[in-house]
This record gives sequence, structure tokens and C-alpha cells, in this order.
Amino acid sequence: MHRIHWFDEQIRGGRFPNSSGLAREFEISRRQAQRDIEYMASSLRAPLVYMAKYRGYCYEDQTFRLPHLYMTEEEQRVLKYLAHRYRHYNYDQADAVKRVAHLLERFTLEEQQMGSHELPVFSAPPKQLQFFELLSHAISDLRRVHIHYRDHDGERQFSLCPLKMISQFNADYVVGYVADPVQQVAIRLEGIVHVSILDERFEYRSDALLGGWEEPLPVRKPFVAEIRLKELQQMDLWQGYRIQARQDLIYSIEFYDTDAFLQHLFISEWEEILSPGWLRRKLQQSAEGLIDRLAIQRKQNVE
Amino acid sequence: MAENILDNLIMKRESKSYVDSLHAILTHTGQFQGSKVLLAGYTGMAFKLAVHRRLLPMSVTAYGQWGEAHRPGIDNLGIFTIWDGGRTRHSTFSYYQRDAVNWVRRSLNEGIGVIYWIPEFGVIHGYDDSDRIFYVQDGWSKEPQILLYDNFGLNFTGFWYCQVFGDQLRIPEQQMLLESLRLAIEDWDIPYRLLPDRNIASGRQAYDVWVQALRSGDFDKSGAGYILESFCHSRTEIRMYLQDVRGVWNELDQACACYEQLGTLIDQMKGYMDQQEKRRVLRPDTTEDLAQVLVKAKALEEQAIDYFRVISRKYPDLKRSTVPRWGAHSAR
Repeated sequence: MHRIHWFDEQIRGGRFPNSSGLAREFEISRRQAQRDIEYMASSLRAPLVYMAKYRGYCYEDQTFRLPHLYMTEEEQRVLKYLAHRYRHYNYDQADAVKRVAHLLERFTLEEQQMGSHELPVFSAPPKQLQFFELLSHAISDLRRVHIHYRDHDGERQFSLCPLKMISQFNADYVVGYVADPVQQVAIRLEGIVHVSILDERFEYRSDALLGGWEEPLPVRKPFVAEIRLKELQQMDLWQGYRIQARQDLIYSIEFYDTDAFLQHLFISEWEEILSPGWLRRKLQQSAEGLIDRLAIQRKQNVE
Repeated sequence: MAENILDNLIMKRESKSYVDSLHAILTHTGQFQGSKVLLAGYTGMAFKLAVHRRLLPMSVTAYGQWGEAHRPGIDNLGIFTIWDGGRTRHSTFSYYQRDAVNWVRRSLNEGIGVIYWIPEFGVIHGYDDSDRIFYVQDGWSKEPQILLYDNFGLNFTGFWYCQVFGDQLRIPEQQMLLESLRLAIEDWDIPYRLLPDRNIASGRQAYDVWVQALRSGDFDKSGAGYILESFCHSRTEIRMYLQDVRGVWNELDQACACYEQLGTLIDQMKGYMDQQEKRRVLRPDTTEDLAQVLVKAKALEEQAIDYFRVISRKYPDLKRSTVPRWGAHSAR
């Protein structure tokens, strides 16, 4: 996406960029650069015209804007909140949901495309979003907050040193400690009437204070495939899959979903799958199945 | 670097996932030759009914503390078994995980498949040391799932369970039958199997909780469908089981007649479900009808269990009448 931004800027600056310029700027192959340009034209519907005279591209229609590449700050805030909720989601299909959380977090920094899986829907009342943002800011800035809180026991006001946000039983909490006596508390966001950030900063006390609130669960490890690729990869990703290690053209690539990765192997270019054996066998089986089906179809057509 | 895959071990989802897994493993080793219905009966698994007060789908496998819930059934088959399980969040989990990987491999080397919580229950039927993986069957898809040794036990439920089997001694069929009826009585009488939690009710109480949830309207839609589907299947299993073993005691035939009457109610209940993609869901306009039929079903099952009690009283029951130091609880 950075490359497409750059290319767009060059066009708008009237500098007539081309594939070799793009390849040089980002140290990628010309072929990859050409693919980026094709992607702009076909998928993003950019009205690109090649001007032989200037040996570069311009827009046929100057009013064209790159679609969906920009996200407003507010949208980013909403995504940040959703990422938080998804990360703490712990019911059906939690693994898939947590992976989406990871994706959403990246959304807030850079743009990614995501699939249309059915995901749980959380309500995101604007007031809570606002509190979430204020408290996140206070946590990162180590600032005390003043909270006006209401629950079954009635209303109270106090000052809190917020440490982190957690979700439990489908509700959001801010965990922190109150002074005098120093005591750890979890405040439910729903019960907060008002939050204000104070000027006063607090010193971060050791992790021990957070003990017991959220035990870190063992994390499921990804599968790792050793694959010899055709081209050198510049980024830490092979078309979206994380590259864990590399040696010459042999890459250790992480994946979680076998079916999705098999499909990826069908459409992308690679030279050799060195391991794991089961992945090779699965790919071979589905390729053979495909060939068999085609053979049957050919036979039927002949008959 | 070894590899071992047990051929011809095929699990198919039809009954409770535990019964499906057990049947696949024991028929593969030749330790059980009968039908799945018979296995569900002898192990008492068919009689297990648990319902969460919001009809959550997990009710179907939440019929008790698994180790204790499964053990009497496996004992009744005369089979040696070892299981382990726990919470993956416990700090010692990684030690148990490594150890379990070893004993699962050992069992596969002996040619015996292993029950594993995926979730739900499935069967580990092979491993490959070079890729550090197990092959797991869930009973739905033909292709096995691939499980890394490092991910053994990890799933969204936060707990793990694994069970291996060993040798078998022969128990007379009539004795197995009698014990299965006693297991049924026990399951019927115990209202809560997961105390101190009282959200999930069992046996007789499960019917009440179920009817209450349907009438209150506060329940999980997909769970309501799944529980009903599983109920219809298990009650059909009981009916077929009792038909299979008919003729041993008069009272058993009378109990069988109760389950046959229940069979007609089940046909009615099946009509309250619609097929949606792969699962069946409860039609929202039928909740009250279903509640009424469930009340009738409960009465019939109560009657059948009473016949079981009559049979049970005819014979000494050393397992239950010998009161050990901790009452009914085992040392585990």
C-alpha cells in the first residue's frame, strides 16, 4: 500500500512514474512493480494512461481518488476498540476471532483487506468508546484519572491509576489501583458516568499488581512450512503470510488455517515445499483430485 | 523419527461424540463388536442428559466431570483405561502436555487409538515425529485434522482431556446390562453433576430446566436445536438398546414399552426442527408445543426408570451399597 501511495503521489506531482522507478524506489523487482501498477488499474480502477512521450503514467481523469485507502481517525478509533473486544473474545471460534483481532489491530496502523466471515457483533455505544479512548490514553501516558461511577451499591467518585483494559463475560473493565489504601480494582466501563484525565502522573508499579486478573493463556503455535520461493522477498510477509526465517530462497512461512494456505499454494508461485510432509501430501491429494475430475469431464465431453 | 498411522480406524459422528470416538477405537482393536447403540447403552452414555438453563450448545458434553462420568461406563466394559485432563491455563500445563504427547504416541504404537477433546471428542489415530504432529478425526470430515505436538490440548474451551485404553477382562452380558440400568438410575436422580455450578442440570432436573428455558424465551437458539437433536438421538438409542436386550426381565420389557411410547413423542419433536445448512434449528413458533411434549416425555422416562429400579433391587449392588471412607466419592 505504501508503494501505491507513492505511485499516486508521483502521478499527482506530474512526475510520470513508471515500473522501473517504482522498483528502484522500493527495491523490488520490475515484475512486482508492474504487478502493483496492474493492481491499481484493475482492482482499484485507477484510470492509468501510459504516456510514451514521458515514459511514465498519468491519470486520464484527474478527479480520481484512491478508494478505501484512507481511514478517518474516528474509524481508526472504532477499529481499535473492536480489536480489543475481539482479542478478549473467548467463546465459539475464539481462535478465528482472535486472528481477526490481530488483523484489526493492523488496520489501525495500515490498511488491510479482510474476509467476510461471520463474526460476533458487539454493541459499541459511543459513550463507552469515548471512555475507552480516554482510559487508553491515560494508561499509555501513566496519568491518573478521576472517575464518577455508579452501580448497584450507589454512586461514588474516586481517583484511579489505570493499568490496563480487559474484557470478561462480555463486558469491558479497566483495571488499576486506587490509593489509600493501595488496592487493585476493576471498574466496569458500563458503570462509569464520567471520566476525566488529571494532570497528575503516577509511577508504574510492578506487574504484581495485575496478578490474578488475567492469567496469560498458552498461545496456539502456527504451522511452519519450509518453502523455496522463486523470488527474493523484501518484506516480512509472503503475500500476507508471515515469514519466520529465511535462508537464501528457502523461507519458513507461518500459517494457521490449512485450507486457506493450501488455496494460497494453488495460486502463488513457489519452487519447492520442503516441509512439512503432510502439507505436501494434502496438496498433492487435492491436485490429483482436481486432475481426476478434469479427466472425467474430458471423457464425458468426448463421449 | 517415527511415524505411525492406524489404518481402518474411522470415526463417524452419529451419537454423542464420546460414544462415536469410543466405538471407533474399540471396534478397531476388536474389544467391542456390537453396534454403537449397544455401546451407548452398556456404558450408560445414552442415558446422560444435561441442559444448561440458557440451553447453551455446550450442554450436550457437559454431563459431568468427564473422568468420573466416563469411568463407570468403561469399567462396565471391563476395559483398563487411563485419562488425564485439566485447565490449559495452569502453570504446570506444559509438563502435562509433554507427558501426554508421549503416552498418546505409546498407545498408537500399541495399535490403540486415543480419545481427545478437540472440542468435542475425537480420535487421535496417528502421529508423525518428523513434523511433530498428530492426526485427529472429528467424525465429520473425511480428512484428518493436523495437530502440532506443541498445540496439544489447546483449544478455545480452555481445558484439555485425553484418554487411552488397555487390556480387557470379560464381564457377563447380563451383568453389564444390569450395571447400565443402575448407571441410568444414577444419572436420572442426580440433579447437578457440576456442583457448585447449578446452571447445568442433569437427568430428571434437566427436563425441568429445559421446559423453563423454553417458556421464558431466554435461551440460545442454536443450542436449543442441538440439545433437542442430541436428545432425540439418545432416546432413540435407548429404545433400540432395550429392544436389543429384551427378554431378560419382564420389567425391562415394560421399560422398553415406555421408550417406544417416547419414540412417538420424538417423531413429534423432530417436526419442531428445521434443517438450516448443516444443523437443525428449533422453529421459534414451536417452543410451547415442545415444552408440553417434554413434560410428557419426562413422565414416561420416570416410569421407565422406576422399572429399572425394580430390576436393580432384585440383585445385590456391592458397588453402591459398600460405603467407602469418602461416601460415594472415589479417591480421584
